[in-house]
Amino acid sequence: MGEYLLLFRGGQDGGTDHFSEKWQQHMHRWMIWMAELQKKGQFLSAQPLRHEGRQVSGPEKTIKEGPFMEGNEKVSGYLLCNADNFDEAVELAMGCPVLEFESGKVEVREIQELKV
Amino acid sequence: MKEYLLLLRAGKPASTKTEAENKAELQAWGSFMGNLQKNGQITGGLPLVSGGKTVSAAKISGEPVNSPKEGIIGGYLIIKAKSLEEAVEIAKACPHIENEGNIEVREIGVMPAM
Amino acid sequence: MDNINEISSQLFRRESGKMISILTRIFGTENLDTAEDVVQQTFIEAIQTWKIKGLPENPAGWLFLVAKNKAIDIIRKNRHSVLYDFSNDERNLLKSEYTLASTMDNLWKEDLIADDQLRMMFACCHPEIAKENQITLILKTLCGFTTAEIAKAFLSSEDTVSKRLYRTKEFFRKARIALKIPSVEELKSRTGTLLTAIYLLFNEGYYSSGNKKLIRKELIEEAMLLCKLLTENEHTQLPEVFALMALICFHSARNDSRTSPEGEIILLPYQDRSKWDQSLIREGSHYMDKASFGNALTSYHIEAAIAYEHCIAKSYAETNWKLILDYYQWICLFYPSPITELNKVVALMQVHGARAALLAMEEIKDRKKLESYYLYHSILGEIHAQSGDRSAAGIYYARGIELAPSEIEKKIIREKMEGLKME
Repeated sequence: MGEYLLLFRGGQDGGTDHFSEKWQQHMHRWMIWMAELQKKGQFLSAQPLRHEGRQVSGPEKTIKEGPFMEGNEKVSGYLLCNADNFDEAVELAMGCPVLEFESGKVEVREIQELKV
Repeated sequence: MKEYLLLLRAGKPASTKTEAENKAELQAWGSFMGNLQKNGQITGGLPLVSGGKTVSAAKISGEPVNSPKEGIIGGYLIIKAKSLEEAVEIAKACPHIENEGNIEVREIGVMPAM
Repeated sequence: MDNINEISSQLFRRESGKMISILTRIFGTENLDTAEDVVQQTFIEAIQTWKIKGLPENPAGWLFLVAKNKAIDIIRKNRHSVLYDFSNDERNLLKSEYTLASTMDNLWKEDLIADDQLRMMFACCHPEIAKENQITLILKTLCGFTTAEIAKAFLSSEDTVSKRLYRTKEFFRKARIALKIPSVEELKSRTGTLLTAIYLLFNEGYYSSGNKKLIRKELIEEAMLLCKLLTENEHTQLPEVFALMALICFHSARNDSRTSPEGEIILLPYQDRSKWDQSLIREGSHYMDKASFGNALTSYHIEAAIAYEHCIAKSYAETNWKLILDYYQWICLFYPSPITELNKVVALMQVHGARAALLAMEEIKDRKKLESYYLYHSILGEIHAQSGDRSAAGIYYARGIELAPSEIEKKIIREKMEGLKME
């Protein structure tokens, strides 16, 4: 059993009407997907991210205003979960509603255990 | 207090550094995290294993997303701060920057109530 | 303006219990204060908004929406706070923005409210909470009574009520009682505890004297609503639940004839039977039919049967006292207590006369326990008056007057004493 970070990329843009029937149905599918993870004891946490952000980089600690990367690569949220192995984590990711969008992507990454 | 996700990208891998450098970095991390903990500003954060996969509707690629400019995400932190400015200040103090990495600071969003 | 105040206080009485039940499911019994704060704030906002904008089309829906949004705000602010435990299946999804709104919507669905209220009732009637504290908590959380109203209803001080509530909430905080419907094995005994609380609540409204007539009527209505909730929920549809509901209906049917316009008590022989509420009697009979499945025979069944006999009797004299006496004998057999023995004696006097009644009185076990009870002396007075011993009757009546808890009861016995002189 390991911990995995799912990074949601791309997907809906800022112009979505959050009160439309379509959007509500979309959010309902998020709930069904996550409730299933919760039921199996695999859900840890998940949050969406706001569009704007900043980037700190280099020894000079230069600050750049976001959003970063090309539209399709931008991280829009994350989910932490437990899975038996990488394949199962990928399997879980395939159920994610962000993939309903043409540009949606889920990056699946395993949490590194710190060797102390 | 708001919540922020810090995405830690790029940076020198431990295998390319001397043992002394790695030890010093680990100590810097210890005091950085210890400080956040003391202020009640840390809610989560872990480094990531280097490989990964990316799932999209069409295919599964055997790689994590790699931006030519910013690099691959190697870890994350979830912190609490009063503003984006404060969150950026915290990011600036993160040892990951010393390690030639960059950090994307993003506020945890609010889904509009239905 | 006054209209808005009145409407919102009626809504508070009707809707706050539902909202508290839902909010307690969200925040846990250990955070009952949070649930109460949300409801309080919601009503403050309602009054302020409605005074300016007028009443919305669906005021209850408006309240639910505002309370729901307030709960969402609290969750957003306290996602990682140790004060709230969001670790169980349902609540864990409240922590994520992806699922917060839709999980919340599900929690506020109309068809789940009755179960939430039932769970809340079971929590209020936890076996480790003292009886009087159970009822106090039920009135506060489920019936929307203010501390002042509870104090008025129980003829006690607000301070006492506050202390009781505080102690019970302290118990909730420490014990973190889960909101759930008991398992099948426990259900019968735990429902029994609910029934006792409802029965006490009803008796408090029905029998206690005092001039707070309005508030007592409300106690009766609340007992009826709570009992009805149990009759309608499939988990608690037990024979004894229907029996208590029948009992409450039969008693309530006679309620209007029990006091004069001046608020004085009118005893059964002198009540105007045309004032009895026939529709409530019919409703009671209907519940009585439902109570008769299975082989359960509880004190509620027998008490309801007695109340029914009174309801259908044309007059006091034409009452089927013989049957009522049989019922009392059953009660004394299955649920013996000095009080039920005393009630039996009253029926016995109607059937077999004063001498038999006196003998029965002398045979009551633990008669000593009745010595401080005013009705015991008043009944002894009546027995002696009927057998012609006026001086003995006078002594018992005098003792009854001395012990009677209120002016109204003293007056009733005083009138009986006056009657001795006229004969």
